Amino acid sequence: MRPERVDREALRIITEEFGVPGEVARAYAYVARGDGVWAVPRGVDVSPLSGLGRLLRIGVRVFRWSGEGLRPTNNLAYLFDRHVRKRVAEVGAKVARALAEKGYARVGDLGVEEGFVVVRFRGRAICVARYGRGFLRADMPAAVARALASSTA
Amino acid sequence: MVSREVAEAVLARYRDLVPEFEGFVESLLSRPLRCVRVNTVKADPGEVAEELVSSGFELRRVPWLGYAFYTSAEGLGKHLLHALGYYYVEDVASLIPPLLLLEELGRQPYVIDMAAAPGGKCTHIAQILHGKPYLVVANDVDRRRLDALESNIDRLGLCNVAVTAYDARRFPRIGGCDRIMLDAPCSSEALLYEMSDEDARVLLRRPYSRYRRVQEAMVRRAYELLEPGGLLVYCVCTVAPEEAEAVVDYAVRLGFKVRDAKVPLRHERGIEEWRVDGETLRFDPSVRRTARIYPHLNLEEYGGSVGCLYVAVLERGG
Repeated sequence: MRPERVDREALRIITEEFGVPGEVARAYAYVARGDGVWAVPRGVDVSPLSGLGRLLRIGVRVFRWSGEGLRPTNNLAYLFDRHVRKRVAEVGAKVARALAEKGYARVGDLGVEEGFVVVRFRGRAICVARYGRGFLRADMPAAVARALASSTA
Repeated sequence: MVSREVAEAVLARYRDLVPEFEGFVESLLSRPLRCVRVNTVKADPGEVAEELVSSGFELRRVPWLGYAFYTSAEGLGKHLLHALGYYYVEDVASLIPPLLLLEELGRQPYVIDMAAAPGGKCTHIAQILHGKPYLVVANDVDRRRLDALESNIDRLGLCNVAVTAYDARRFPRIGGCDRIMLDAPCSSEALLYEMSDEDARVLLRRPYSRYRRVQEAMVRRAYELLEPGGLLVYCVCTVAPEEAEAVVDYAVRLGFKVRDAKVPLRHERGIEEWRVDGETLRFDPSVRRTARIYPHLNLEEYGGSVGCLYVAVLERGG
C-alpha cells in the first residue's frame, strides 16, 4: 500500500470506526514499517532515521497487517484511551478477570457490531479484543493481565 | 543485600570527600524512596495520586515537580495504573537530568538519549516533548535492556520515540540534534543497596578507569553529534570522581563549557582535586558548576533516600 493510503486508511479506522476525534488522531502520522503501522508525531521529519541500519522502531505500533487488513493492537487502546467513543466494551470485574486469566470471556450482546473493540474497565482502556458470537477474545500484555487479575481478585 | 562491612570497604575511599560520611554509608544501604512520575500524556496527576492513595499508598508531592510524588511503600509496579502506563516509577534524583536538559528547548528536531534503557530518563524527556515538533532517539546497545525500554514506551504510549541499538561510541551522525542525554554506564555505587557482597566486592578492584575510558569515548561522540551551542547532560549513579569530574574535565578539553547544574535537591558542588592511591587528580575549575546529589543530605526533608547522582550540564562550543 502506498504511504498516503496507509495514513488515510489508519486515520479512517481510528476516527470513523473507533470514534476518536479527528484533532486527536491527526496529531500522528501513520507509517507502514515491517509487520505493522506505527503512529509517529506528525510534523517531524523522520526520514533521516529511516536509513539507520540499527533502527528498531519509530513511534508506537497501532496496527498489524493481517489477512483481513489492518488489525488494531493493544497500543491503539492505550494511545487513544479515553478518546475512543465507538466500538467500546465497558466490562465489569468478572469479565476483566476472565480476559486476563483465560484470554476470553462470555459477554452476550454488547450492542456493537462484531469485530474489534476497545475494552474498558473502570473507565480505562485495558486492551483491544475481538468481539463475536457473544464472546470477547483478547491477548493482553502479561503485566496488564497480572495487575488486572490481582486488582479484581 | 550487601553487608555493612563490604559497603564500608567499598566507600572508604570517599571518607574525606563526602560530608557526614557515616550518614552517607547508611543511606546507600537502604532502598531509595520510590517516586511516581505521572505520565501527563495520558493522565491527570491529581487523579492518579488520588487513586493510588485510595489503594493504600501514602504519597507526598515532590515540591519542585507538579506531576511527581514519592513514597516509601513497595508495590507501585504491580498496580493496574502502572501496567496501563499512567505512571513510571523511579527515584527522586532521576527526575532531574531531563529537566536540566530541557530547561530551554532546542532548535533542532532530534533529542538523543545515548544509553537510554530501561527508559526512565528518555520517557520523561518524551513526556515533556509530547505534542511538540521533536523526536527522541532512544539508543542502547544491550538487547535485553532494550526489551524493557520498548515495553515502557508502549506502556506509556509515547509515539515521539525512535529506538536504535548502537554502541553509543559509534552512534551514526543524523544531523539536527542539539540536545543529548548521557546517563552513562558506570560503577553504579549508588545501587550498592541491591548488590550482593560478591557484586560489591568487584568495586574493591577499582574498575573506575575502565568505565572512565568508555564514558570519555561516549562524551567524545556526543560532542561530534551535537550542533554548536547544543547541550549534553552527563550523569552517573556513582560518586567516583574518576567517572564524574574527570570525565567532565575531559569534556572541557574537547570544547564543552560547563553550565551551572541547577539542582532542586540539596547537593555538593563538583570537586577540583581528588587524591587517591598516592596520586592527585586535578580538574578544570569549571567542574565546580556540576552537582553531586547525596541521599543523606536530603534525608531530613524527604524522610528517606532520594537516590545518589552526579550530574553535569555541558554546552558544546562553536
